[in-house]
Amino acid sequence: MTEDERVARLLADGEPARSPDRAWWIWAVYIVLYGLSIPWYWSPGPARVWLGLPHWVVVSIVSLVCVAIFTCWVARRWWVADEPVPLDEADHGREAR
Amino acid sequence: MSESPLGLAALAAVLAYLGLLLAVAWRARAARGDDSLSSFYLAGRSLGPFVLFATLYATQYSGNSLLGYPGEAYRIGFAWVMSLGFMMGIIVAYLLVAPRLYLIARRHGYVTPGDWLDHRYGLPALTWTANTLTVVAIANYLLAQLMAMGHIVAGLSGGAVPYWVGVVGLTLVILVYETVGGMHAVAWTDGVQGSLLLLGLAGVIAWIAPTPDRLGEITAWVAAQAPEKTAVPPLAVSATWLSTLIIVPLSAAVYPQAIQRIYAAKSIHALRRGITVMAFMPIVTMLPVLLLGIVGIQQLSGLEGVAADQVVPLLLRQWAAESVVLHALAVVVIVAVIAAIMSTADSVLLTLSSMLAKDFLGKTVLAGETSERLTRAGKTLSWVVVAVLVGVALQPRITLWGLTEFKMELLVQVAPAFILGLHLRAIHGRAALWGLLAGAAVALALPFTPVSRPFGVHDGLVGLVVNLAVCAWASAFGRRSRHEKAMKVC
Repeated sequence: MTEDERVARLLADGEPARSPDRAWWIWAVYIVLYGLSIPWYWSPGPARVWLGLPHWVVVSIVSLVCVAIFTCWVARRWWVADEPVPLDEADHGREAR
Repeated sequence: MSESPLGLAALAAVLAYLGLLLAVAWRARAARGDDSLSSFYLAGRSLGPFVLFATLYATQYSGNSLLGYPGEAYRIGFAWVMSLGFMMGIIVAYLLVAPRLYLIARRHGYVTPGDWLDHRYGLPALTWTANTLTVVAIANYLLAQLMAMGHIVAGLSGGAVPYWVGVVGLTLVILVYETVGGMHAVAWTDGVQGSLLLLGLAGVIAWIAPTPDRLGEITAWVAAQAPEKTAVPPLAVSATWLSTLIIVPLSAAVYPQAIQRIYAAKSIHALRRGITVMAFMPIVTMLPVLLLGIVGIQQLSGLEGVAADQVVPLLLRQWAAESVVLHALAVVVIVAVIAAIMSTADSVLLTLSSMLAKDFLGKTVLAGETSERLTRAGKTLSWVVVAVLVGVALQPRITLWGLTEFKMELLVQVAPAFILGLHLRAIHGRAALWGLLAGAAVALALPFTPVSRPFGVHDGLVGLVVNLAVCAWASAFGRRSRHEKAMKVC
């Protein structure tokens, strides 16, 4: 199966079978993790130093590392993809004009 | 140049790097097929996972990232850790766009982002408006890169090499390799540039913060001398932080140069792998950049406004004078910074050229011309656009981050039409157009009023809310066009 045939099959019913935008809970997890990365919930005042950085910066960085790991997992589990196939030469002949 | 603080070693390294770029571009020229639009601007839709990752990475991290962002960290302190969040947010936003857009673009052979809008809405006024806004925004982005080239060359040479020589000289190199090799040359040179960028950042981390203790010393010094730069930020800063987290990822997700990389992927597999690795790059890249700005607070004082964009060049000059090892490290970082700037500039220029050729000339004076003719027109236009922008770049009056914010606030207005159109059939073309016009008008007008940036929120975000409200209202009460009713696959 060529890549173009694979694309046609995935679009056959007008929707990919599985895609990150179709699972609301994925976006809820992002909102929680990003919510933690913004220091709105800390009391104003001087920072304590953790691992050489202000404490609220460390919490922010850890939240964002979780975002990266979660994104990696979502892309692997929720983005339908088959094995790659070289592009059919015919593609050159039908570009949009 | 021999009198510059970084001396002949830096000059030799930069010249060797430029020579390498031209050699890679020459090699890429052989790989390029015909002169069709998809061959020249999308590398024949043949980019595999590694090259795709390299070009996404080198394009996303730019002169803004390595000069403007340390400058902003210098100005506001540790709160600039928000940059990790919004750079990562761009990858999260790709998950909303890339899976569906890749499939549709592949099936219908899109070349520019305007092809999607044309196909989805069939409303020329919407495509023209969105394209015009996008071209203005990315021309602004390109301008920021050209200015960054001038800043870095002038700053590193201590003024021995004038700002204008940096702007004109490096721009000429980009124009040459881009004209010769198109997307093949840009993507391959991005591979070289991305690798140099990572090498430079590794050097920065090794020097600045080899241990938490050393990092702690810097943080303690900043806390004592400028406590507001380490303290928990006030709520107004958190509001700006949230606003930036929304506006940057949404606008960057519709960057035409990013969209074209989605189109250029060889397969879903390649695209998915490229984007997966990109999720970790903000940590690897923006953390050293943040720390550069923080170290700047300790080692440099009195830089205000535009001058803070010189933090990196000034630090490098200072380090180079300290020891041979640091001199060598500074040279590596110099080349990395120049690579970051050029890799973004070349991608933006290529995209700008494709949009002007296909979406503007191809629908007016060159309507009906062959794909090859449009490609040739695009190459010529690259030189014209650059000539105009170089003229503007020679009179810098705004900070690099200021230019970036302006671009984002404009570009984010295109996001509803582009992204919602991928997922919601209920969005109508006319509704998207009215929303876009209303949002752009608000974003452009608010800065001139007393209520600009309410509660620290970007004017562009206020415009986006208006944009969405108008779009939703008009979609609810308007009727879909015949074109939209006939569309089976979005």
